[in-house]
Amino acid sequence: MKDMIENIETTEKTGMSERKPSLGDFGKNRLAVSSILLIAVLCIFVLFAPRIAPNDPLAQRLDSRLLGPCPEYPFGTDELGRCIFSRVIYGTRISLGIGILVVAATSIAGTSLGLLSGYKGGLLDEILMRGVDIVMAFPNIILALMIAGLLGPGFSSVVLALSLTQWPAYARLVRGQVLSLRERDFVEAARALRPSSFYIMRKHILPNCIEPVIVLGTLEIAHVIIFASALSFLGLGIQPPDPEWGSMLKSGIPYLRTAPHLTFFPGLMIIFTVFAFNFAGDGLRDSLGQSAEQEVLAR
Amino acid sequence: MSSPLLSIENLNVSFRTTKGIVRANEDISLEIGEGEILGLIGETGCGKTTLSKALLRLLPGKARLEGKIVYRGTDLLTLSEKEMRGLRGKEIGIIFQNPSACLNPVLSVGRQIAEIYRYHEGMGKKKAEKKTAEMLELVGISSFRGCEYPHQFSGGMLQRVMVAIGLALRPRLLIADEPTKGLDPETKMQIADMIVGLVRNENSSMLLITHDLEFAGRFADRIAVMYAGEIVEIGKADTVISNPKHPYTIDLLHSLPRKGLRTVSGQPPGLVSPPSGCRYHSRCSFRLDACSRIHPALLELEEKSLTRCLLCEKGRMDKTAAPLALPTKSALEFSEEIWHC
Amino acid sequence: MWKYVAKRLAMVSLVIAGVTLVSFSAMYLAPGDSAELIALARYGQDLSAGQIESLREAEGLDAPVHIQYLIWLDHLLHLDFGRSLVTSEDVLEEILLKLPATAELAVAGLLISLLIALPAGILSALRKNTLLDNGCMFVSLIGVSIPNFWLGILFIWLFALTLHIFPSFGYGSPKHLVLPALTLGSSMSAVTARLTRASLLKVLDQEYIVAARARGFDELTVLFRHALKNAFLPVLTFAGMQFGYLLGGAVIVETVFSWPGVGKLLVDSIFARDFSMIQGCVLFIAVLFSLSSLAVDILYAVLDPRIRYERHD
Repeated sequence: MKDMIENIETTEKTGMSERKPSLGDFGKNRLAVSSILLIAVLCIFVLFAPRIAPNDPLAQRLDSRLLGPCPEYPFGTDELGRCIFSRVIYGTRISLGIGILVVAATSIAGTSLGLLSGYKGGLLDEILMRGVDIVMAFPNIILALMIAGLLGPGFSSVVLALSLTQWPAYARLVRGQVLSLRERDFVEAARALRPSSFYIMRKHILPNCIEPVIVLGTLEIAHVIIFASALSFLGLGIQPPDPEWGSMLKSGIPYLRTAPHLTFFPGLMIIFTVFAFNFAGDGLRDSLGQSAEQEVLAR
Repeated sequence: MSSPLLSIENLNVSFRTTKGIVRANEDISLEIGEGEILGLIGETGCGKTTLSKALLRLLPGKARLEGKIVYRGTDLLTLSEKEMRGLRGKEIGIIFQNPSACLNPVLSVGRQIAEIYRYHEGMGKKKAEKKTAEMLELVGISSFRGCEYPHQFSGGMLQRVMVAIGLALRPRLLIADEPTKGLDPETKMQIADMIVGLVRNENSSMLLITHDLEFAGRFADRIAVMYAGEIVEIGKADTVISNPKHPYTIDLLHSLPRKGLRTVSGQPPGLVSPPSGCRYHSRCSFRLDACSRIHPALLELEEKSLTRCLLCEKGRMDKTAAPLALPTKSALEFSEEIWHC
Repeated sequence: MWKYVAKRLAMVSLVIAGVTLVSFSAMYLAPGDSAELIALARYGQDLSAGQIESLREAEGLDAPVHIQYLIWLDHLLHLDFGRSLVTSEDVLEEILLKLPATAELAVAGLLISLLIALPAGILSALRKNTLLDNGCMFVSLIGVSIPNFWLGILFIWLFALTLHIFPSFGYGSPKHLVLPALTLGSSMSAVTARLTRASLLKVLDQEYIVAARARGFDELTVLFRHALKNAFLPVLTFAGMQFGYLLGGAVIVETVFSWPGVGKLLVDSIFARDFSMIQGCVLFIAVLFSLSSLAVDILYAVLDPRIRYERHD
C-alpha cells in the first residue's frame, strides 16, 4: 500500500490490475472467452464428425464431380466427387490430432529439458542451449521439410518432424523462467529445508513456469496446425485420400479457375481453426500479463 | 509583500483505477515565493511525486486535477498543452527521482542537454554544444564526458546530469524530487550544496521534495509536511523543526537516529478509502476520540504557520504529555549536529 | 564491444558446426541404402550387387561414420557440396544460380511487409486501446492465422485468373514479382506489426519518456528522437528472426508461384530424392540464416551504446 502512488502510474500506463494476473482474469475478458467457444466448436467437430458430416468423406461419386455448393453437398464436391464439407469436418480430427500430439510431446520434453538446464546450470546447460541454438539455426520449415522428406510422407513423419523443430521454444522459455526463479527467496528457503534438486524443481519451480508454457502451448497448437497443413500442401505430409486441409488445397489447384471452392473451403477452415487457438493464446497471454516479446523471443 | 511565484490552491489529484478512485493529493494549498526554497517532506507513497508531476501536468490521462495552480498569475490548469510545453523546462524545471531511468540510454549525455538548447532557444549545433559544456562544468562534470552515455556514469554523476538538464534554461522554479536519493552521505551533501547554490545564485525558487526532515531543515526556508495525500503542517523551517505542531511531524523528528530512532508503528493508510476523521489518528500518540470522526482543516495558528490537527486548533496540545521533550535549537544547528556526528 | 563480437563469432561457428553435424546425420540416418540410391540415380535400374559394392567403395560409403563425416566436412570447407544425384551438376553452383531469384523475392517481400507493418504497429501503439489499435490488432491476429500458401492461391485466383492483372506464375519481369512478393510480404506483416507495437509500447512506458516531456518537447520530437530509436533495437532483433521466417516462407511461396529460387529447388529435390541437393540446400540456408543472425547481433552491438561502450567510471 505504501508505494501505491508510484504504482498507480505504472498500472495506469500498462492497464494491468495490481495483483498478480492469473488465469481467472481470462474469464473476465469477454472477447477471449469467445475464443473458447470457437475451440469448443472445433472439439465438437472432432468428437462428433460422423454425426455432423452428411456424407462419407472418402466416398467417391464420379458422376457428381466438381459440383458447387448445394443442399446435398454444402461445400460442393471435389474432383473425385467427394463431399468437401464432410472432408473438411473430418479434417479437424487430423489437424487437431497432429496439433495436440506434437504440442503435448514438445511441451513435456522441452519443459523438462529447460527445467533441468536452467536449474542445474553448468555444462549441461551449455550443451543443451547449444543444442537449442543449432535446431533454431534452421528455419522451421526447412528442417521439417528435410526430415519429412527423408522419412517419407505420412502422419508419423509429420508428427516426428514437427516435434523435432518445435521443442526448443519451450526449453528456452522455461529455462528463462527458472533462471529468474532460482534466486528468489522462497527457493532459497526450500533448499535449506530439503535440498533435493528434483523435489525443488517439481514442487517450487515448475508450478511457476506452467502459465507461460500454457500460453505458448496454445499458440503452438495454432502454429503446428498451419505448419502441418503446409507440409501436406507441399506433398510431404498427410497424403490423399486422407482429408487433410493442406493436401485438399493442393488437390484443388488444377481446378482453381473453374471450381475455386475446392481450395477456398479447406483454406477457410484452416484460418478458422488457427485463429481460434491464436485468439485463445492471445487472451491467455494478456490475462497473464506476459509481453508479446517474451513469447516471440521464446520462439 | 510581493505575490508568490507559485500558489497552489485546493488542489485535488485523483486517479480512477480498477480498485476505485485513488485520491493522491487532497486539498493541497501551498505557496512558494520568489527566491524561496520550500521543502516538502513525506514518506514514500504519500503523494509527493504525484504532486510534482501534477504541477507540470505530466500525469497520465486518467488523472483528474481540480483546483488551481497559479504560476505568476496564471492558472496552469487552464492552459492548453501547447502553452504548458512553453513553460516546461523553461520556466519550471524538474529533477526526477531516478536518474538512470530518466535519461535516454541511446543518446549521449551531451546530446540530451544540447537538444534542450536547440529546441527551446533555436541554437545551432556548435552554440548548443558550447552551452552544454558550460552547464556540465557548472554541475561538476568534465565537459569532455559529454559524448558519453548514461550507463557510463555513476549514480552521483548521473544526478549531476539531471541537475544540468533541470537548470539548463535557468527556470524560475525548480522542482527537485528526492535529488539525493540513494547516494552516499558525502555525495549527498555535495549534490545538495551544488543544487541549492545554483538555485540561490539565480534567485530562483525551489520545491525540494524529500523524505528526510533534517535534510530539508538544512536547506529549505520553509517546510511543508505531507501525509497520506494531505498537507498536515507548513511553517518556517526553523519553526517546524524546533517546534513542530502536528503529531506526525513530531513523530518524524523522533524517528531520527539522533533523537532515539523511535519508529512509528503502523502503515500510512491507503489512498483509495482514507480513514474517517484525521488520517493520522490511528498512529497518533495524542489522539482524542474526536480525531476519528472529525477531519481537521488546515488552519493558520501563527503567522505563516499552518497545521491540520484538532489538538492544535483547540490549543489543547499538552507538551508535557509528549513522549520526549524536544530541543529548542534552531533548525540549522540541529541539522548540523546530525551531519557532523 | 569487440569482446561481444568475438563471443558471438565463436558461438556462430559452433552452431554452424552443429548444423553440419545435423545435416550429415539426417542424411546418414535416412532410410535407404545410400550406395543403392546413388547407383539408381546415376545409372538407372540394372545394377548388380557387385557394381553397387564397387560404387560404395568408390564413394567412400563403406568407411566408418565419423570418417565419412570428416571427409564430407573437408569437402564442405573447400566449398564442395557434392554433385546432384539427378543432374550431376555441382550442387553449390546450382544453388548460387537460383539464389538471385530468392533474394529478389525476399527483399521485395520484406519491403512490403515493413511498409504495412511499421506504420500499423506505430500507430497502434500511439493510439493504444482505441478502435484503430484494437482493429489493427484484430486484423493482424487473423493475418497470422492465414496460411501463406492459401493467401497465394487467393491472390492468383483474384488477380490472375479473375482480374487478369498479374501473371500467376513464372519469372522474368517485375509483373511476375508482384503476387509472390505480396503474398510473402502480407504474410509477414501481421507478425511484424504486433512486434513493433509491443516494442514501442514498452519504450513509451519508460520514465525517460516522461522526463523528455518534462523538458517541454512536443510529442513528435519525443516520439522520433527518444522513443523510436529505443524501440528500434528490439525490432532489429526480431528482424533477425524474421529473416528465418522469410526464408521458410519463400520455400512455400516459390512453390505456389513456380518461382525458380532456392526454396523451389529444395522442394523439387526432395521429390526427386536427390539427397546431395537436399543436403546442400538445407545446409546453405541454415548457414545463411546463422550468418544473418550474426550480422544482426553485430549491428545491434554497434547501435546500442550500452554494448558499444563499457563503463569506465
